[in-house]
Amino acid sequence: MLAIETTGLRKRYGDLEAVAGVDLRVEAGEVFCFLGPNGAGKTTTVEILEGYRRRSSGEVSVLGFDPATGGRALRRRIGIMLQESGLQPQLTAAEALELYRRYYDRPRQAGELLELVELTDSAGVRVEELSGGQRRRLDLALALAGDPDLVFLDEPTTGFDPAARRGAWQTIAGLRSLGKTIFLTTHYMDEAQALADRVAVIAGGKIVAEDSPDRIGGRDSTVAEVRFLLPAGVAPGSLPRLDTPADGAPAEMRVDGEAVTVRTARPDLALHVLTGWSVAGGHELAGLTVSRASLEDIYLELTTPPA
Amino acid sequence: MWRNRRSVLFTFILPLAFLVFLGASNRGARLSVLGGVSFDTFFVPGILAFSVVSATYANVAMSLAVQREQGVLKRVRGTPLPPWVFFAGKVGAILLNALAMVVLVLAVGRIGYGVSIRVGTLPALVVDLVLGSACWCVIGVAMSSFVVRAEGGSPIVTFPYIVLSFVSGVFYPSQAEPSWLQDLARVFPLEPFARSLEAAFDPRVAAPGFRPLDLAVMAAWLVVGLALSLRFFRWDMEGV
Repeated sequence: MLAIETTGLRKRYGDLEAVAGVDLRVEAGEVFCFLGPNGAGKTTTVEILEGYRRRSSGEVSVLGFDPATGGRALRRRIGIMLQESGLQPQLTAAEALELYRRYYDRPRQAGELLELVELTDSAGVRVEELSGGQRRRLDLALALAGDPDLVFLDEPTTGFDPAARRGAWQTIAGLRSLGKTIFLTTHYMDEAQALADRVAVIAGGKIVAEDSPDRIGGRDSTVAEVRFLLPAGVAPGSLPRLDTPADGAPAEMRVDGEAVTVRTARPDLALHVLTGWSVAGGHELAGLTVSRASLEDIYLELTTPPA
Repeated sequence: MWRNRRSVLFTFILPLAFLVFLGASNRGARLSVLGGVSFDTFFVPGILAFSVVSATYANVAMSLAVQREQGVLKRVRGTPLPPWVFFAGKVGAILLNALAMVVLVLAVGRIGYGVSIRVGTLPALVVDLVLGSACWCVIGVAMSSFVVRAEGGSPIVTFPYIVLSFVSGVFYPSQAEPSWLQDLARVFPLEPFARSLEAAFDPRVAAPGFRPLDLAVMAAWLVVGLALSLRFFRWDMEGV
């Protein structure tokens, strides 16, 4: 079942087409991560899905509703964590949760929500006196107040320290295990990598790539790098030849001091040769790593306009 | 609301300061332009009108403008809370404060200036207050839509009604003004509000003391304010 589906979604502001034909399919129960640089049409798309803005054309379905006309029936089932946290500054954290949870038919308990985002100790602190990270956590709790089926999280961990970020990730992963659908936007690629089932990248108002975080943009088939340190007493010339593997995939070896880097599309073959050589010769390949382009590398490649 | 100092200033401090200082400096005077009625009988209803406008219009407009800028309106819009319930809550809370202010001004008027409510004109007084508050609340909602930045919004919101207060015969009788200015003031809903309240307190006006034309002007502004609000009210800072 699809939680969100858009076909040919467009939004024009005068001459500018901010969203230029976006097709999205978000499965119920998945964490869908929507990436894109500022000004790429990301926020406009999300706000159309949330019901804040009207589309110019195209089809949109959110939990089976058109968000432009879904009204209360739709809003009962979604939770929205906005990027700009708008909250009455004079309310305490607990009062804010008490206030907003009453807007829903089957709200979660305020105490339970505070516990979930680890704000129990700050329940009596006014919003204006909470730290940036604490306010974000309160925003997250507020988005979950109505026990929504679909949660929009817009840059949920901005301003978090690393420990708080891991905590938020756990909360989000917990929501996923409850069967909730999560539509996440973020600028942190490690966050997308850690949480997302699928990633879509928008640039210039269009989706330029969509796949799992490990496969997006051909990430699984890009050239990999094998790195290790030259074993003591081994001359670079006596390393095994890697440039003639059986399938013909070329490998390129570079030695820089004691650091050796091999670039190849088949790191498995290169490793086979290397480890066979090191085991047979009694050498140790210290600092051995295999790495492919990170999600961030791929993302930058996808979103940087050609020079 | 008591946690918000600006709101307290608009609703309570400002009108009370006017009531005490302006009133004290003209104590016991008689107003020849109004046929010799005591200044206090003119002045207490005038301040009452000003208080109600401050407590409703200025509060509604500023509170909505600030909450729009803070993103509170946007957040509320994303919940299942029906918009009319949100507005009913906001206006209801503000009307309660306005009611408290009315009681306070009437008490000060009674104790400090000996101006009491007349039983015969009480229904007219209540109708005047209800219609005046409703009309100014709705104008406040409409006005909030035109505040671009809440920080600069305070003058945009307050300037029109302070100017209007001075030309509408709230602090002193407007009979000395040129007739075109008096006529102009009559088109806006403050002059009719103040005059109709005044009639309820003026011992020379026979009960029940309704002023249908003034009430009609306020009702017309209620409709205009409602139409402007429906057309221009925005939940967030960006366009749709």
